[in-house]
Amino acid sequence: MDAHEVVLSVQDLARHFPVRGAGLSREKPVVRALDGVSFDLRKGETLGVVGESGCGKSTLARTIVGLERPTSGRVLFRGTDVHRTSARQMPALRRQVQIVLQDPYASLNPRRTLRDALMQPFEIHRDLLPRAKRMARVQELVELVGLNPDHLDRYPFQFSGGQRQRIGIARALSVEPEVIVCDEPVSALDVSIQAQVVNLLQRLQAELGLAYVFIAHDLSVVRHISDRIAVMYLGRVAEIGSGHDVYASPAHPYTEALLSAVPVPDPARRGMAGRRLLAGDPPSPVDPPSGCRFRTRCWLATEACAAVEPLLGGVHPSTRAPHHVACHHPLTAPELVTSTKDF
Amino acid sequence: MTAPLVVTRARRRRAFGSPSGYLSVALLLLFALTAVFGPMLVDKPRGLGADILQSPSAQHWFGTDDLGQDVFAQVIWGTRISMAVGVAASLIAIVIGTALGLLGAYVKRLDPFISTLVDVMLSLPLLPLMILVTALVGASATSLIVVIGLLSWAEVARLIRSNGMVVASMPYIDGAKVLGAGPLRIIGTELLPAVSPLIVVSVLLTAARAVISEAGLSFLGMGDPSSWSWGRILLNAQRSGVIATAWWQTLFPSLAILLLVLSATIAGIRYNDSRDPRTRGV
Repeated sequence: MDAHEVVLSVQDLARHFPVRGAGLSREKPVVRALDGVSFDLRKGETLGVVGESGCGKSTLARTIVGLERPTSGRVLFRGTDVHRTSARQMPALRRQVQIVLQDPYASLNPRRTLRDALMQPFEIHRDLLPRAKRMARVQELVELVGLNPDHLDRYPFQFSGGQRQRIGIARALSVEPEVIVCDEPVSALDVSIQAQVVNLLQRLQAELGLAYVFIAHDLSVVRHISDRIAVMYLGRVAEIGSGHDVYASPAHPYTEALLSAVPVPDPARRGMAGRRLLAGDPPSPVDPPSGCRFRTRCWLATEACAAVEPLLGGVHPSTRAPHHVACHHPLTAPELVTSTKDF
Repeated sequence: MTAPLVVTRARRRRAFGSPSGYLSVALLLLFALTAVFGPMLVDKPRGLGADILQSPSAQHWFGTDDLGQDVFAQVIWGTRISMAVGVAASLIAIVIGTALGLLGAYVKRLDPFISTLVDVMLSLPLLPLMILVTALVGASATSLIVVIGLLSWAEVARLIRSNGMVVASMPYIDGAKVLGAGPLRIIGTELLPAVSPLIVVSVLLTAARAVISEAGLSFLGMGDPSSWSWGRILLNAQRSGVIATAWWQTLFPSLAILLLVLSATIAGIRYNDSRDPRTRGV
């Protein structure tokens, strides 16, 4: 995997939102939606990001593509800070990292036809393609994502949810990005349509060499598409490693609890693996617990968990692949390594 | 392909299918035609007629004033100025109000300033201010247009801002932003088309208010003394001391003002209601 170049590097990214109506107290409380997340994304790779709602997945997506400014930390695209480029470089850099939005019903302007929606990127980036070639490119994009070119004059309300998500993908592809952030791209779709869209994303990845940050709360979808998986809890990464390792032998108690909540399709196997039900709700991101953030719901928590914040680090014991877990009592004890540079 | 056309047609039918809808539009059209062609068909009212202070008759439909000028001719000629001032002033107000409203809706940093400015403008006593400013710059149709236009954009700005904010928070705006669209492009190509039906409503309602302001200012002597307007007919009646006796000299211009304002307002409301699926018809 190290043979691949790193295209996107997220470094200690944090995004805090001020709490509304916080009064006049000197120390303004903030929602720590994203609180120190780091990872690298290599060319052609898919990083799945999972976690329950409110864990900062969407804030991560929005900050990577520049819809939110980070409170601290950096997002580097091939070494250039996405949030601190000159206004002149901005358009060229911005188009390298695109997003596919969650809600296919609200992510398209209802007043634009498919043709207009796909022409818009070329009107924004005029130097991308000469006017004469744009229509041909729009046709090409429509066919690339598996839509009917005869439907170019249709409006969004005339398309189904899956078709609209294809339009969203075509729009993201139009500016030839290297990285696409998929913010729950299939969670609003029917299961049968989900598979089609996920397969389309995989086909496009193979054809165009795209790298994905694939955000979802559906663990089986993430497992299907991801090379590596990051598990987020309360604005932090709890565990990150190769998809197989995370699913087969989760090291973080939270990951295990999350995986045990996935419904088992085979009735004969149901009840074999005990379900790990977590008590209570996630703590407020305004005032996260001291030490390990998961300790309030963790069945393995000790005094050390409240005192010392566990850091990400380690390799997987059997596969030797980098497998980082932020836990004092990991379930499959990854061997701790001092340097975290290799990840 | 034809779906949006069908939608527009259905909306139009919903908006103007009811009697109040098509009557108000017909009346507006009548006023507009009168403003454009009326002065070509009716002689400009001149003084020195022998028939002074005549009540309405077959010869003088709306009667005559104290100088023997035909009130019908005055109302016809006044239509042109009253409507021209109303439309031009409302266009000024719409342009300023829409620009500031959309800017406030999309550019979060400017919003507090624009909102405060709108609040201040809304709380100003407009009529005394209009009188003062018109008196200072001199009475003419142009100064009326500018003064009314510059002082009545605040309500438009507030309406457009609140609706623009709803659109600005839609995910497709984020989509355009990630594609690299700048604030001006987003305001011009995403927000403006979305609020354009509201702009139609605002034009009608603001024009109606501008006509009232124009009549009021003309009545107070702030209008152009060389051209006819409905307010000036009332002013003449008051000046010559016949306002209590020659009812025809005040009734007909007032009726014209009432009908124009009423039809513009109803047309605006009908159009606005047609956009809301909950209140179709009535």
